[in-house]
Amino acid sequence: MGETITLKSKHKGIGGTVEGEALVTENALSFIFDVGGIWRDPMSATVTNKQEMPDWYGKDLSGKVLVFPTGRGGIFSTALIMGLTNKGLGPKAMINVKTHPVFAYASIVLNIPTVDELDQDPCEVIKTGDWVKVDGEKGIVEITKRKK
Amino acid sequence: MDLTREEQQMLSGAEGEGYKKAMEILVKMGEYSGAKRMVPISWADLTTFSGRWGGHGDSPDNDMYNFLRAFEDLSLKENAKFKCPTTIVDASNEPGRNERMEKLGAKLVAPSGGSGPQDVFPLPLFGQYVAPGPTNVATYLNSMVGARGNNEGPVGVHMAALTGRIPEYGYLLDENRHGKVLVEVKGQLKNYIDWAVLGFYISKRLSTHYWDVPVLTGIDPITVTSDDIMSFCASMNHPGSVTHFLIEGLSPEAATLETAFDGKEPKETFIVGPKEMKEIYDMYAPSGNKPDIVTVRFPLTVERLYEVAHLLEGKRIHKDVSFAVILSNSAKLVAERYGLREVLESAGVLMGDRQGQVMWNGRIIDPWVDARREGIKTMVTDSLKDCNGVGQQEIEVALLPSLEAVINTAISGKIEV
Repeated sequence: MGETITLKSKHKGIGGTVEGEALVTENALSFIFDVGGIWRDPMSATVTNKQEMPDWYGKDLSGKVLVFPTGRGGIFSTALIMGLTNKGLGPKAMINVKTHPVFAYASIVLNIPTVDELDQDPCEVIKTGDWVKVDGEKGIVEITKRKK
Repeated sequence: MDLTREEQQMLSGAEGEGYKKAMEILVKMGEYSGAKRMVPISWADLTTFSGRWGGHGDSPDNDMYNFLRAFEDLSLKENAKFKCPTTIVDASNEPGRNERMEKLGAKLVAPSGGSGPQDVFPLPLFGQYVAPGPTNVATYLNSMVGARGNNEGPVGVHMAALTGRIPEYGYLLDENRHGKVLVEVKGQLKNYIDWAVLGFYISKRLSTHYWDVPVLTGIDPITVTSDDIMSFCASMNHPGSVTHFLIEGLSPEAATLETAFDGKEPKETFIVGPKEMKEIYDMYAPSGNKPDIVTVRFPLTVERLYEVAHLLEGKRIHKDVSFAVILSNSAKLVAERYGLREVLESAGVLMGDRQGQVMWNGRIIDPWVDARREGIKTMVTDSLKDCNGVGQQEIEVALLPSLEAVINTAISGKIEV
């Protein structure tokens, strides 16, 4: 096991507890602008926007603990997170600097563990590949660093 | 959260399952966003869930559609009504949908009137709490009217309409409405596309912390049109999510920079001048390919309808180009009454009913979701929202710097700058 770090939110999070592999970006995320896999056949949660999402381009978001600063763009992300999640292609959990309301409502309805306003910037502390446990009830994130 | 008696009653289920579930969702949102109470709203707009893609075939938003439909069914069964003035755009293909919404107490908005602030009713007033639908409307109302609202999205807005309330967080609170970032605008903005480029630059720059309200200085208020501001509000939400900004001397909460910043220092300052504007134009510069589709994204206001008709008078759209516009509700009336519809029709312009629709191979499609599948290679637009929206389709999108250049491209079939 690698080093363990705990982050704590100012308030309650959303959903229960899950753990999984982190996928981290420094860019804001939109499911309509960035995740073009939704419109391809077969449908997937693959990122296709090279211009705005270079660090996640080609990556599949399904089953991952997504760590991103916040949401961007319009209101469609609520619907698209619901569509992906109900097909088993949604994120396992979401960790933000501050969650965009359009994403928060999706998490509430779908019970996706989601936390924000942590005592450190999650996009700096967590690295892609780290193992992360998200407790949405308590608003706590436990990070086990991936061995180098 | 501190709930009033009426709110507690809704939450307890005494008024039925629908109100109970809606309050549960809003309370969770309130707890998550640190709200201390709920506040009554003067208006909710359900336009973002009007069935644009919803409910047909394998559309990925079917799940939200079904979720909100089940909510509507429950509300109808329990004879519940929206507790605040509520509007919805009439854009669903589903039979009986309008009647269902009217039964719940919503008022219908004609199709092209829902996507921008130009046809909003009841027009929110300074200080009122609102739950707007489209993001550009939320930004317009916060920044230019001084009404207070967040981007709740389709689920949040529906719960807000039903209960007549939203949790008091985000832009409802004084402390989140003051300026945090100073933006010094240098140089002249030529037209509404320049305003979109300015908005895009700011929104992109603030995309990871959009809640830091930008304050623009260097704008001469007399030169600004409402079309400029609507265009600016739209691109403030693509690529980022700026729901509230202030312009010195124009926004009701920014008579002076000192008022805008509540007497505090900005935490960040940046300049947007010709160099920064060019960076954005260069991102979507035309490559010389022939255009398949040319669009004017936003509903034409009366002002722009006159401009488009003037540019097209006696001309004809190139036979290999699909060119589409939509008209705002007021522009529709003007077009009918003063013969402008004929000018557009005889030039071969498709007048769509809904934002974003274009004609392709004899069918109406939406490039945001269909472009790649339909074999479209190059799209020309006046809208950075299109550039961003179509980006994930991996086709070429070219932004042109004036309405004139867009129209000339549609006429000649070659990209004209």
